[in-house]
Amino acid sequence: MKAVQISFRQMLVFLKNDMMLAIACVAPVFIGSIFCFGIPRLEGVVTEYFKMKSILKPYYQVFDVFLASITPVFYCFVAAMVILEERDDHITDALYASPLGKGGYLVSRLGIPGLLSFVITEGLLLAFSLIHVSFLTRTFMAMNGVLQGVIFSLMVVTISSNKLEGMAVTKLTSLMMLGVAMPWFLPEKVQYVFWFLPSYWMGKAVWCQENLLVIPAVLLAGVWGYCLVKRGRC
Amino acid sequence: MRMEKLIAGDVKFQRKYGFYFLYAILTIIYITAILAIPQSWRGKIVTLLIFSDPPAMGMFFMGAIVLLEKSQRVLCTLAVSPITPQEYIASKMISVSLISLLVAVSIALAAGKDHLFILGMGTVLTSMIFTLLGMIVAVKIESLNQFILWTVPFEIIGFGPAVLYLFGVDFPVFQYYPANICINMVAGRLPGGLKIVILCIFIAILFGLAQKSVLRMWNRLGGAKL
Repeated sequence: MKAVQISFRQMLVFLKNDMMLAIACVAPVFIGSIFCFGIPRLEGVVTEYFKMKSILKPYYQVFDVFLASITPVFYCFVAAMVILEERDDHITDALYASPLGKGGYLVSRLGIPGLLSFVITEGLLLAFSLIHVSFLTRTFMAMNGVLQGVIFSLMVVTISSNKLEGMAVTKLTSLMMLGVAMPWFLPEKVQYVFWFLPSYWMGKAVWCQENLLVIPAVLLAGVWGYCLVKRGRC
Repeated sequence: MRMEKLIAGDVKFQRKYGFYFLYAILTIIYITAILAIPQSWRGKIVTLLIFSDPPAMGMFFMGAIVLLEKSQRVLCTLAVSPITPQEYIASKMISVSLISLLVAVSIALAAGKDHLFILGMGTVLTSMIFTLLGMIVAVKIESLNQFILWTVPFEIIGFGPAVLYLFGVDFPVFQYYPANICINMVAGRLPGGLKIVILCIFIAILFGLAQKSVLRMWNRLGGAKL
């Protein structure tokens, strides 16, 4: 446990040197503020421009689910970039051979940031939600966001073998987040094409207002996580 | 000949690390999304999409490209070769613009856009600007997180005014802002002579800055502190 703590602290120092730590504190609040205060104003602008009654308002829930996804993904993305750097510098192999081990390394790089982002996401949803949701739904949204963030990072570090591939995979995996919006934009029969994405089930849970739909999201996230760790380039 | 080989090397590098594959998938996704939106919205959204993604890839990937080249000692090799910083930068600009152009034209064709030549020119010029900005930032940074952080202000400066301009927010000098001239071209509108001159001067200035930065980076490569 001490090794995990030291390893996490080491990552914080690395991020502090990059100024990324300060940004990590400010950015989610900034994004939340933009969503909360900017979207309703943007709605005013675009409805006037396109001469329509409402354009974005029916999709306010989508923004909330996006906020719940983006915050943990942001933290896990930062951690994934650190892992890529460490792998390119051959530090990872040395850490695996230390008392930290592979499990401890993953906990310090993805587990702890994931847990922290859960708490932050919960707070941000409480402060910046466009639509009022219950505590339970909010918790499920934050939990799903965290699972997605961890899968996202695992994909980046397992599929790619260096920084450049990492950036390319990041761009591609970020599309996985779009699953949350499918229930709003696609007909029911077509949207099931995205059944394999945990984000789709989270979106569906909010769209149907049915918390039980979080179960397939969590199960799928578990399967994704298991496969990615087993594939094991990280 | 040297230049051709450099470009071919960069294209090979980008293909090897999945740029072409990535953008093939993204193009399919973008086209599917565009075809799903109402016709009346399509024009502006296609312009916004083409302006904000394919030409901006230089900015997005340049940090990773330069850092990887540093860690693989590619830059050390280039620095002692007859290749000049101008050729190095130009090769990156051309190879990245090529993918941007392919993606932009594919999306525009699928969306039924007219004035493909102007759109293509706009895409290439925008791509050059973003690649040069990416290069200026990339040579100064030590890590990917640092690069992502440093590109944020450039993205805000690059995209913010252009998006506002596209949706009709206009001030007297706003139309001469380089990003706005580019988005106008991507929208298929031919800019006037003065605007083209402004764009060329802007690119030349960025090229000069990038050249200085690359030269400084090459001079610092290698050796050890004792």
